Amino acid sequence: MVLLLTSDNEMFSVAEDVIKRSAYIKNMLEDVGESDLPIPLPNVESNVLVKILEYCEHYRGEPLPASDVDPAEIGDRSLDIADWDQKYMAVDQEMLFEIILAANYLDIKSLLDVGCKTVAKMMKGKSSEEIRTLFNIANDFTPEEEAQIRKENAWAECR
Amino acid sequence: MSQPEHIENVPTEIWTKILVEVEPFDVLSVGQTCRYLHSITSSNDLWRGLVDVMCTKHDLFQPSYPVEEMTLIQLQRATVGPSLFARRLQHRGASFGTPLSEASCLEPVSNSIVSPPRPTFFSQLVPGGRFMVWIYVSCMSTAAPNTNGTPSLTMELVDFGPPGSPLSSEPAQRCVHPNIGRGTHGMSVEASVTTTSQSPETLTVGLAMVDTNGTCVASIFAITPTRPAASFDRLASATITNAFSGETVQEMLIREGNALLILGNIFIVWNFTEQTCVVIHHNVTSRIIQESLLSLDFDGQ
Repeated sequence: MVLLLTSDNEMFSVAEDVIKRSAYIKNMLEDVGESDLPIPLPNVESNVLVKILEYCEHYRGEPLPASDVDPAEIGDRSLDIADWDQKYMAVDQEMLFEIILAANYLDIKSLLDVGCKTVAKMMKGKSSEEIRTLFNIANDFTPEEEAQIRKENAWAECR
Repeated sequence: MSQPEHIENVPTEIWTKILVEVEPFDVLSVGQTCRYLHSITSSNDLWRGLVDVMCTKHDLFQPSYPVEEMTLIQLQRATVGPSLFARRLQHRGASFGTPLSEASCLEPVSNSIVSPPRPTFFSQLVPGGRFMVWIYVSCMSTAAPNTNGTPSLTMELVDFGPPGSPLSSEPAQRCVHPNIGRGTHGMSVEASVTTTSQSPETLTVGLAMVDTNGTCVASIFAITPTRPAASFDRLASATITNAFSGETVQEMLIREGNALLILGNIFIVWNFTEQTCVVIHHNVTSRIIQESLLSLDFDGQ
């Protein structure tokens, strides 16, 4: 078992083959070897770690992706997301971005991919106003700046 | 005014990862939402990545897009170009397959008139829109007097400069590679230009000719558009004699290391990396069946 300590000081005890989906922890275990000391995760809160572990648990036993090169990186550009992953990602936006940040920190490539694709899918085909509403983004441009940007992008508008 | 934490906490590299998944149009929309996202979507690095994705997706010739030299606006225009084209056609109720003359919404951004010195046997715009390949007959008598004025074939690469913005007023750069084969009266010539995923920086040009004696000569050239002058290499050449009297080369296709030639009811499959050749006589007459058979067999090689 591996001990993990979250930013809000909660301790988790996790099976090694579950948490090895995180390349960060896998490498750490290989470098440090067996240890009774918990691994601190100062960037991950307990509610996010619960969610991350749910993912790792679900994919337990599936082969880990090859470390460096991902041949599917280019070419496989479809935004298809597996059913289970879609349901898993059906969380509020704050959690969605927390999962992405944690997946990035813990180096869980497949989860980071799914997270990014989920956000991409939400934004696809939307106007800037729709994207603002979607993500609660405040328009912080001055009217002059906004006009300027509109002018810069005018060539891409459908006439 | 600051943005929701979940927007500003996400670092540039993750936004980049998200943005290469959406359509280039969406990236422009994202950049119009707020200052933070505008600065992220105004990065040349992001758009360089998007150009790469676009090239892979549309089988475009990589050297057409010298991303290191291109400005942000050039990168943006080049990336959005293909979808903008499709969108404008749709916008006017037209679809692909509509004759260009009817797609009145498409107006040239600029014009450049470049004429080959002689009528061409072959001219093709290389996917990516920057380069054009010409093959034409030139008379060798002035360049090399000892050939007694035998006409010879010349290959030329025309470089219009990076796409993505109106053409510059500078004349197109032209690289000429003379004497790629001998031209005779009444011969038939067919050529094709392809790019391969293995060497995306090189253009493969296949050229096949049948002369009046029925001899078929096929050659494969590689053009690498390096600066200042492009390099031309002859990769392979094959001569098949006396078999094709009266036939003309109708088609030449290249896939990776294989070339396929169609002459009447003869198929020639030539593996130019291993120099093996198969000549198939067939009696399939329907053009459509021929083509579908070819695509099956040929891709299966």
